[in-house]
Amino acid sequence: MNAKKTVRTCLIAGLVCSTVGAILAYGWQPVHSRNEPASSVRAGASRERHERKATAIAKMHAGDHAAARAEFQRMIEQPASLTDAVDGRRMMAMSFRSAGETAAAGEYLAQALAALDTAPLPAETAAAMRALILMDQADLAAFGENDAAGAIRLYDAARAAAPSAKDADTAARNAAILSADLGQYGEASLRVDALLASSEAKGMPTDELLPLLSSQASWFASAGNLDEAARHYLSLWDAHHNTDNAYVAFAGAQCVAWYPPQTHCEPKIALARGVLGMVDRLRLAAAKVDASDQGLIASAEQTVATSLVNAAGCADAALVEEAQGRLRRR
Amino acid sequence: MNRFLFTRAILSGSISLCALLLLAGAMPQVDTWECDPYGYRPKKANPAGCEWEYDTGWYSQREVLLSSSDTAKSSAWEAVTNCGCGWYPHNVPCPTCQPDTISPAVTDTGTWNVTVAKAKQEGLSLKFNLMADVGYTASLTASEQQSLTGTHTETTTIVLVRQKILCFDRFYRTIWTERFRKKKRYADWTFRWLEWCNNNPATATTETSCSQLLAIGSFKWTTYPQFQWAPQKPPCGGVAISYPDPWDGKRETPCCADVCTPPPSPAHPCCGCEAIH
Repeated sequence: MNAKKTVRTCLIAGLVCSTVGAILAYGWQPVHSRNEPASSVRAGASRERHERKATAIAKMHAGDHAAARAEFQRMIEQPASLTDAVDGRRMMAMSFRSAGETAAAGEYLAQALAALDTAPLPAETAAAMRALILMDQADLAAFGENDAAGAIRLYDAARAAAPSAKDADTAARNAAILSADLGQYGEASLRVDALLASSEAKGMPTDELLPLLSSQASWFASAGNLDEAARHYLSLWDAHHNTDNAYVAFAGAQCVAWYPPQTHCEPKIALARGVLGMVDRLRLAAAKVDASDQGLIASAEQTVATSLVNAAGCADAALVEEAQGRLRRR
Repeated sequence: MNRFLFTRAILSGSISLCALLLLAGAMPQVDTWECDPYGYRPKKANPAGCEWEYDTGWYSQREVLLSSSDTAKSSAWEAVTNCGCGWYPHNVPCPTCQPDTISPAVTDTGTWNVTVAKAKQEGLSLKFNLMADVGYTASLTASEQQSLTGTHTETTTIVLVRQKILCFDRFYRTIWTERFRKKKRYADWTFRWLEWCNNNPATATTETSCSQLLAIGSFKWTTYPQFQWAPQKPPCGGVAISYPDPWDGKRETPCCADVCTPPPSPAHPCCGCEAIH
């Protein structure tokens, strides 16, 4: 009798748990009733559209392009909002680019632009969509097709059309670096100067500003203009030496290497000590340092230590020994 | 006893079922990306009787080039001492400066470091993208291809003939290029909201946005080195030491004072062979 009771209690408990679990698993989804306000119905439809799209994007990132494209195709064929016909094609392009099919991606972006020209969208929305497509085209040219020259033109167009400072900043920055990739160091540097002078750069975070300044200094060296390279590296060090950062250390290290010990012994040693101190602090705070910058920190240390070993006579014996130790530990 | 066991089995079965269902409840069914429009409602206030309603959203994925540089790097200088320091008149044979040859093993190294916020696939895609950007074409092993952090090294030997010369200590070092590229990939959602007043659409719209970092990473390509000799310095016809100095201030060193500024004949410089001056 007792066993039967226990079994019944367990079954009821199991049923309750199943119900609670199912609710947790599938979410509380109230059924729209006839009495439900129209705004709730609209909100439900918008949310459902968003979730379908977000799910398709998640599938695209997980490599399930077939499932993602089925949803994007549905957006094209059965648009539920005014922007769907354009955005479905844009998302289709993103999926093809992600799968490495750049020609198809380019084709869908061209189709998206054409669809935008005929879509009955408010001017503001159309402008925003156009800027998005131009940025997509520029990214595709730069990172899918390795067409740096084409990408620069597209980034310039995207920057002019970009409604957000963030996209304009990205377009300007990418165009500058791609110019340097093409060996157009002077133009690349001018683009950085223009970006830094523009309103977009005002809120540029340090972790984006310092790599850009360091790159700009390196381009002068690549162009054979060591004077300007040294001036830029030194100005980067001077302005930011209170900020422990891999790019600041790297900039300081370059200046140490270029100081001839015969004529600039004192600043060379002072700067070398400053850079090595920063390198050590960055190592101690490794958890706070972006892992992708660790290579730069090691590079800065190698440059300074080598330069000190070369500067025996200017650097005292203890410092040279310390530098040799650092090189041995690498 | 058996009845007890039976009861315990049912109990543990039910508890397991509960645990499984609760676990299923805790895990999202589909990994949708975190930006939810309702977490990013407009802050702009509406007139009385009006409210913002979410309309639609656009997703974009961007790559930001953070850094790109080619930096010349070098090792410490090695000395090749002179093969004679003195004045050798025409009747005294000049020392023969025998070269020696070294062939050190050198490396070409690609180092990558990618951090992903979400899918590993994004990180791997960023890594190969970075490799293509810097022009690195070495063949990675299967495990290197699947790793987000790693180093690929190739080794070869290079040959240097170290020719000693009379009167001057020479210096050489290895130089190489360090090509560094860093970029990040992020995704943005832009959410468009429409104003509805008393259940009728108004004309006002506004947008909110949400940004997610997908991956960030760098690739450093340290190329095979070459040898570089320090130049002469004036008045020996070489390059004056300047700031910034590409040779780190290093020059060939005369073994005595007036090798390059000899006194007028019939006196002679402190070092050299009369036949070749």
